[in-house]
Amino acid sequence: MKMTGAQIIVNCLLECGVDTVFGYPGGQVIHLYNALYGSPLKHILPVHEQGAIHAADGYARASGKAGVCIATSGPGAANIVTGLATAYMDSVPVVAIAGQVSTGHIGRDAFQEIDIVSVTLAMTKHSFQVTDARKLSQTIRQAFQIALSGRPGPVLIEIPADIQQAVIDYTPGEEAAVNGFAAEKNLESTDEILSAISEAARLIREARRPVIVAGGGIIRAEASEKARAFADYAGIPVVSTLMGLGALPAAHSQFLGLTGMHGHVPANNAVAGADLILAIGSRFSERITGDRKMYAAGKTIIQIDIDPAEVDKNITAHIPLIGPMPQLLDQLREKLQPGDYSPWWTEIRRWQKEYKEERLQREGEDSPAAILSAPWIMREISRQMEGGSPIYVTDVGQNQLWAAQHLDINEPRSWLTSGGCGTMGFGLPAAIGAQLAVPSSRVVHIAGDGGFKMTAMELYMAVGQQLPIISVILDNHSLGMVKQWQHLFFQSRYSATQLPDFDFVAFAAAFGVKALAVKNREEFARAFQEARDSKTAFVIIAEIPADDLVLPMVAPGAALDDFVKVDA
Amino acid sequence: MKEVLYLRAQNQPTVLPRVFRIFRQHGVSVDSLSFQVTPDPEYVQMTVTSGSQSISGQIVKLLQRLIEVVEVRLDQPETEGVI
Repeated sequence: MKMTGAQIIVNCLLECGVDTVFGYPGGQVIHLYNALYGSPLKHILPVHEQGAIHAADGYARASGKAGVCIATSGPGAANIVTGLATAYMDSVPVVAIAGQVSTGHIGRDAFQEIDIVSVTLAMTKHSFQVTDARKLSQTIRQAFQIALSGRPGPVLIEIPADIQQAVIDYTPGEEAAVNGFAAEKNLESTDEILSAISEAARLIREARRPVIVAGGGIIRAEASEKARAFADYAGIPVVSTLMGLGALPAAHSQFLGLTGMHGHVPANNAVAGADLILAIGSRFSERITGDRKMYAAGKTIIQIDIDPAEVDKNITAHIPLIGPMPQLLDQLREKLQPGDYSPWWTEIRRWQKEYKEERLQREGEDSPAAILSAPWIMREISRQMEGGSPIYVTDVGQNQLWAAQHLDINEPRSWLTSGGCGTMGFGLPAAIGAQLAVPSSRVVHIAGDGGFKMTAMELYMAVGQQLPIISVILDNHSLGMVKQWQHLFFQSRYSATQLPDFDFVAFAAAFGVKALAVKNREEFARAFQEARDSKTAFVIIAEIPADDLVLPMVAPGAALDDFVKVDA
Repeated sequence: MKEVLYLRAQNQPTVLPRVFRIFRQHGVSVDSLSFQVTPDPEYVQMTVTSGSQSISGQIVKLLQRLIEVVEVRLDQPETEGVI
């Protein structure tokens, strides 16, 4: 049958299982938008293309499906660059369709022409430019295949306007020719891998102080249950990276908490004191290793990952196990005879007890009269969301790390945060994408007063879609994390980190969103209750002390158990 | 002491830019370069010589990871004396 390129795009998206797209129209996608009109695809319009790409990202993180974003050429495409980098750094499957000027105009500095393929080479898993409408459907199918397979990542497809307009013969539902693309290099189990697994099992059994580092890769690999079964069987303590939270439940008896720059003391002590680290889906970011030499000293490292380039990149792995995680975990578990780690557990339980006492002392009693602090807020949110299927989406900075440290995160894909890129403004649009992806969950969005303002206009998108997102803004009138560093390392020279007052309540009202500013624990608890009961978007602005620091903290380049000392 | 990198990939316009982007980011210095479409027009091959040990195993892995790349080989000459 005769179809336009634009109709083929819509058709292919539907065939690839897409039901929702986030996009912003413009001159070089007007043909695509003409085909979208009246199509079964649900189209979500943001205020800014950055809102669309972060929403597609949040949608993907929450669902495991590929998020789809459409932008026009030139500035439209340029506006998704940050979002592509955000998705790239956290291995999120996103397919971004960027319009482009017609093929006859390319290279003539046409109106709204930007060479977006070149611009995004550094932040896409792959990209395509379609110059022949007959290759359109195959390209789109390949884009989804690439975005979702192996180590997921964003894929950009640049589609010139004349390709969208071209009329060609098209048969829907044609099998995409693989076209010989070496899409994912085959990672079958070989004899080599099996012997490596046996060796790994032996080393784990013989270790005296092993630790599992659970990374974001567990969630990407849908391997949470296998990872949990392995941890249960092996009886090994587990710590989580920022991206791995939710891979194993926080409530699990073997879980010691977040590790890394703002890791909990018992978790970091355990990693520092370990003689064997089993890293599952973690890429050993410098945020979790601190000084790399000290991190690896005296330890045997076993690393499970899908991407060979992550092995021996930051930390040398004695036993790399490269391949599909669920199978590798199964095979490792089969070969493993659990060791006896009781002395190690005794030491760990002692750290946990000391830390708990020290924190109770530092953070004061759990009484309404005590101050409204971020750690308390996170615990109160956890209390009120218990049994409520929350998805927590954060922005970036102190708010993000307090959330990571103190929220109860028990399910994979219930914790969405920009870890690798640390993109301020990610929170609200990603929360929107997540709520659309999983309507049965309740999305709680946590942000600081700085990051919230970066993409705050997307309340318009939230209201337009009638999404009951609860936004909690931790307002300390600061760019808190930078200010924290300035306090600790730059003699409190607060350069450009003190923010003038902003009336969030009046701002939210402009969108028809109810907002409450709260100053103490009782007010917060009531406001959050009201937000929970509300069926529409709700904003709570919590006034927290301007000088509160995220602690514990490990200074960059320090050993993981060398915590920053701060006067009380 | 030359290093010779040999690479074979799909004949797609994004291959060259992606390979060179990785070189640029990782400070690979190129002494000489040859590139041609193979007798099978679906594939291209590239040979890069680098004299200053700037092509690491990590860079080989990053090149292998590229979707269009089919084969990468780094030939390092025998070094004289002890490493």
